[in-house]
Amino acid sequence: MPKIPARAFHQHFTQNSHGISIALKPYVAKPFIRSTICVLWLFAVTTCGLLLISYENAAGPQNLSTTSFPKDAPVALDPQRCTLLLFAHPKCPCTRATMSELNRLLTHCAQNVSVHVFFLKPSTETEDWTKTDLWRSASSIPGVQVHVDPDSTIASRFGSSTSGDVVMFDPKGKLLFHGGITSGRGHEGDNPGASALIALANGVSTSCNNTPVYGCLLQKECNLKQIESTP
Amino acid sequence: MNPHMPIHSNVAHRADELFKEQQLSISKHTDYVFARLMIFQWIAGVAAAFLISPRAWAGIESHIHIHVWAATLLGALITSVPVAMAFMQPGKTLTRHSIAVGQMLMSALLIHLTGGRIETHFHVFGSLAILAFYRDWRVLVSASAVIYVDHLLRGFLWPQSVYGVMSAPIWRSFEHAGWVGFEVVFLIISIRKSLIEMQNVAERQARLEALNETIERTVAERTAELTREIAERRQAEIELKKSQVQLAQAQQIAHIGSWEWDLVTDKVSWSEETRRLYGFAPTDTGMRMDACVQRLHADDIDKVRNALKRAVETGEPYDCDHRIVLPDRTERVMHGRGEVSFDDDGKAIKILGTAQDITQLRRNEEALRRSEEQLRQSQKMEAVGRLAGGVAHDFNNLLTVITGYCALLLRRLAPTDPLRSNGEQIQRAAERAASLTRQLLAFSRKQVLQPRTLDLAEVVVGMEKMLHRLIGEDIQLRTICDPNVGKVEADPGQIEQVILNMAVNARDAMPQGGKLTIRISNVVFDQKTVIRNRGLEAGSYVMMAISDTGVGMTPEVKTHLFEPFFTTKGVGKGTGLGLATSYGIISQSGGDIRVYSEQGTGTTFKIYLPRVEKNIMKVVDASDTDALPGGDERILIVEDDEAVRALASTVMSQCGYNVELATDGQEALKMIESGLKFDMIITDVIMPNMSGRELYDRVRASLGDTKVLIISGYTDDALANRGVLEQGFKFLEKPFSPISLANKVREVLEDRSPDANAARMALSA
Repeated sequence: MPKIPARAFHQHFTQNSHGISIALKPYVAKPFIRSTICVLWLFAVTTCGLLLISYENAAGPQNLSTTSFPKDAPVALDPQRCTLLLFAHPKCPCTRATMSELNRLLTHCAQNVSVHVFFLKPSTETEDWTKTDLWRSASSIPGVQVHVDPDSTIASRFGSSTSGDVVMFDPKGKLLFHGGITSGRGHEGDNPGASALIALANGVSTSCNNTPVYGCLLQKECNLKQIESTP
Repeated sequence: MNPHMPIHSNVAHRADELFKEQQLSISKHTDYVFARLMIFQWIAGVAAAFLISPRAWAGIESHIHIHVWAATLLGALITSVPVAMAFMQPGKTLTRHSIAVGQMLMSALLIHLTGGRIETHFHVFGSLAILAFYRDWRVLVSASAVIYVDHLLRGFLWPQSVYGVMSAPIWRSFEHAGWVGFEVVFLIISIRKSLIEMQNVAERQARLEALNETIERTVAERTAELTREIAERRQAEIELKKSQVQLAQAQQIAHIGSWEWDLVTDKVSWSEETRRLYGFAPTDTGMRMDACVQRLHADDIDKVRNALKRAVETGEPYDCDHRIVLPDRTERVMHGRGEVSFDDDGKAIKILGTAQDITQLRRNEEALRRSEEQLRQSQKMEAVGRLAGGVAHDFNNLLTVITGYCALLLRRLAPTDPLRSNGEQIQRAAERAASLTRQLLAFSRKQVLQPRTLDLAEVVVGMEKMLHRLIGEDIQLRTICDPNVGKVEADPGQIEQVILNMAVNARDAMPQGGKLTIRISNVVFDQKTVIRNRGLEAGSYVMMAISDTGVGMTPEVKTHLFEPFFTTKGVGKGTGLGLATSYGIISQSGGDIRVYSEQGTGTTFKIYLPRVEKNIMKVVDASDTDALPGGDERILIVEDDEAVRALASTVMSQCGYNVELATDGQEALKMIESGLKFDMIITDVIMPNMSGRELYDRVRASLGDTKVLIISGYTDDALANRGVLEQGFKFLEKPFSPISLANKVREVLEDRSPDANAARMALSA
């Protein structure tokens, strides 16, 4: 509430014999003041909103370290279909949108894709730490195989450092796609990544094979720098 | 009411006012709804942020997710201004627009917090619908603008977050806005219809208010009239009540009550005073005439019935005096008046009347009649008294001479002398004549009384022997005397005369014999008794009741009982002076006589004399011997009647006194003033030139030891007050005998009167 000008105060308040102010009529701020307050308010909200949106649309770091399916990968490359790997942090709230998008895109190409989801399991934590609702959500998607990624070593092997990062290889082990399948942090809805994956899985060529990934980091930032610096 | 009919400009103005008031009310109400809703949304947003994305992770490390901060801080920022304005400035245009903007921003935040879930987008459409509550299309425009700008801005900056592609044409923004616009258009249509309906309602309300105002004004005017009428009616009721109270008081004061006899229903109703006068119970408000007349005296019922019947039949006013008998058996005399009312056919339907208590009036009339009777009696007495007094003086002088000389003559005649019988006849005739004269003076109360303190019982006892002889053997005499009976002051000779008169009358009333009872006792009349015994003052009295068992008296006889010359004894048997004389004596003595008589039963005379607290003085009577007591003193006799003067001189000379004579007061005065000394002056009272009283008054100072004896047959109040001799006078009544004169002179010279005796007793004590 803005400070009431002295003149306005005397117009609207008086004091009784005990010195207590009594309102003569409700205080009404002048239109200019009201408008100014509203403009300032709108500006503040807009600014905060933009900052928030900006954050929401800030992609996580990507480190493309492979172009073909590694032979020492913990899962085998499907020779008949494309192989899709999704790396996720079990507690990342943004990855919930990724799981929804994965579920949705599989409705379009489930027969053509072998899907594996790897959940980070730090060596310092128990299995329960990893088996969250996201784990259960991923497990409930038909055709999806869920795996534990101890200390994110597998993700690192595929150059993934952000939860929600997806990589897809063709049956010959060639990298088809690398990126996120949401349009922002935790934001469901149409997005280029999901569209590209459906197209690629169904044998349709697309120019989009790399999209930003929106999610929590799979490892601490300093660890990521070490990984990046590793030849 | 037809909403399309033309409305008056005032009504239109009022309708506009009401419409705006309604709009303002709706706006305020919706402001408050949104204020609460936005606070709830903010709390829900914070809760959702905590639930959905509490923390952001980096490996095993985490921190509070930015969604939580956004939900808390940005949510608070979005909510603050609209909510504050809703509470501080409800109903203002800017308030609802700020709410619209805030609500849309909150939608954006919530969509964002829920990860852009399509379901959350319904918040936008729901909010638009709720914003339509304002019934202000501008608010929807503001909200839509926010939505569109949000999409436009985000589509421009982060198209993938809105359109799902990395770049989108500008028309994509219209797609989303189109859905919003779709809803908004229908909401605006709905708002417009609602506003029209509101306008109609406002008009109807305005018309209703105008009608109400008219009705209220009419009601107010009518209420004012009613209030005034009620006030006037109350005032009239107060005046009526006051008037009724005054009427009741007036009736009570005047002892006049009112009554009404409804001849149709035969019901008599009455006023409070009438109820009181007739002794009806307070609960009796009316009754039939037959029941009413039961309150009348039995002897007056027919009279009243006839008077009422005559009034009803003839239409003449009802006017009738009658007596009533109250429940306590007391009687009242009432004077009834009434006027008959008739219907249009000339039939009597009711009588309105008054009833006046004339008991006191009748009593007063009776008292007045009695007073007038007493006045007439008094005037008659006065006339007779004047006649008696006129003749008594000369007559007594003549009788004095006759009896005196007759006595002197008889003193000289031997008992065997043949002339002695003639002399005695002359003397008896003279005594009877003297008695007659005395009675004339007595009933006319002109006699001179010489009262003494008496015991009536002693008087009666002393007369018993004589009374036995008087009433004869056939009549039994019985005297009952209260041993503590008080004393009275009266002339004993006159009291004896009264008793004798009563005894004679009793004897004559009992020719076949009977009982004569004389009862003497004390009585006290208090104030209440005095009312019933008018003529006597309150105090102590001695009552002497003389009762016989004779034939009694008729009321007519009782009425004239004490009138002089009234007698029932026949010509020659009674003088008609006995009771008149007795009444005169008793009245002159301050008492009264009451008569109670019933025919065939008897008569009682009750004589009341005032009781006195004095001792009885013994009178030393002179020896009643034939020898004339004498002396050698010098005596002056003043008498205008020559014969009496000569007689007195003769008697005194025979008694040895040295006698000088004077013919009137003047002559006597000259003799006294010339230096002559006398031991006694014997003087008449009524004399020419100077009366005996005047002579006495003139020489009293120079008399010294000279005694004065007054002789008179009629003093005409010269010496007496109401006939009672004044103190100091020595009196001898004419006619007197030589012996009585000689005895009286000797008594006076030796100062043996009762007063002198009292003085001597006092000195000796």
